[in-house]
Amino acid sequence: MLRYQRFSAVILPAFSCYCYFILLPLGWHFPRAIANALLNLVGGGWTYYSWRECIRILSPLLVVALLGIYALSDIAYTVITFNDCKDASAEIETQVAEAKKEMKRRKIA
Amino acid sequence: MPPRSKSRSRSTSRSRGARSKSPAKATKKASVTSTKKSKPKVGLGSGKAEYTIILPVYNERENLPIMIHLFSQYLSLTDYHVIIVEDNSPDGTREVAKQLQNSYGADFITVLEREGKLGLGSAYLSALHLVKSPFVILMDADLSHHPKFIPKFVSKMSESGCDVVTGTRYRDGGGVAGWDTRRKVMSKGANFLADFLLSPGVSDLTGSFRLYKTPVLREIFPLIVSKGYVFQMEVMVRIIDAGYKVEEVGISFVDRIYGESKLGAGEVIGYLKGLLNLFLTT
Repeated sequence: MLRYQRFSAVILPAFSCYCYFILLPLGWHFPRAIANALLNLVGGGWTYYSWRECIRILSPLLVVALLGIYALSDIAYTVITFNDCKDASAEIETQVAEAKKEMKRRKIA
Repeated sequence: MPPRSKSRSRSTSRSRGARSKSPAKATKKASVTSTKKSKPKVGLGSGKAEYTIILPVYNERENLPIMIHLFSQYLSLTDYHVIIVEDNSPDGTREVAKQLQNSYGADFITVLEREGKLGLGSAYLSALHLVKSPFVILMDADLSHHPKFIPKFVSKMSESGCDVVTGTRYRDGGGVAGWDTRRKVMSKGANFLADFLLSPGVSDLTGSFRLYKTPVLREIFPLIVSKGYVFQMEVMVRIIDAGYKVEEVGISFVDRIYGESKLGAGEVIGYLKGLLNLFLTT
């Protein structure tokens, strides 16, 4: 199986479940419901949604956000622990000097 | 006594053809020694090296002699052979390559001349035609990769029995010299994305310092369509998808090109497009 097929085999059923169980019951008003749920998070919105309802409606965004948090923290951690080979550049510079002497000896430009 | 031994020797020589055999054996031995002493094949090496290093160069007039010197310091000149693929550099790299070949011997160095900058993938493929050894090493010729790691690759391969050993900057003591935080973040960010989408099981996907078994190269390299950084990624992904075993060894990558920003928006977009293509086709 190709990689995008493996991804789709997980994401498409999950997204279909979301559409069927959560968006469908809301009818064609679902964009309004999503906007309302988002606004509820920041303390506004024209109807009150409980926490459970907010999470249910915004679950795909939640998954993306969690993924983003994981990515940023992993990158931050690996950048902080990135190994700096300080002696490697000093080593190569001394070896460059030695090599140049050797090239002079062998009469290579 | 003498007649008996005569008859015995006659019968044995007739039955075994010993007399006819020994002169032939003698001439065979003589011809092998004379070939060893008088005629090393010019330009293609003696074909006895276990490991071939393919070194594509373009405008590496300064770095190429240093690379060859480092090879002679860390590697045995009989077990290793170098194929320099020279793409008609304007700075005279070809002259330097030929002088190095004269100095170190055609048994150690082969110079493959091409008409122009035809790309890394085609450089590897043209050199692959000349490879006779069972193992091939690919690396950069700009001194970012240090030949001292090659024996470590070799011992890793012999102790683990894997098909490919790849140098990693992110694990096993590997690292980078001369990178600022911005460069590190871009490298790790790109690697995270590639790892997430392709999940190859290898920590450093864009690394180009690797030891391969020659049949693996011959099978995989003609299939590669990507360019640039994505080329190395595609190679690794296809090798793993084909079921070959890959091990990693930490290397230090020395970036001596200070201040030169090679990562513009065009490169980033090219990388993302190549990554997406790999995600969709492998």
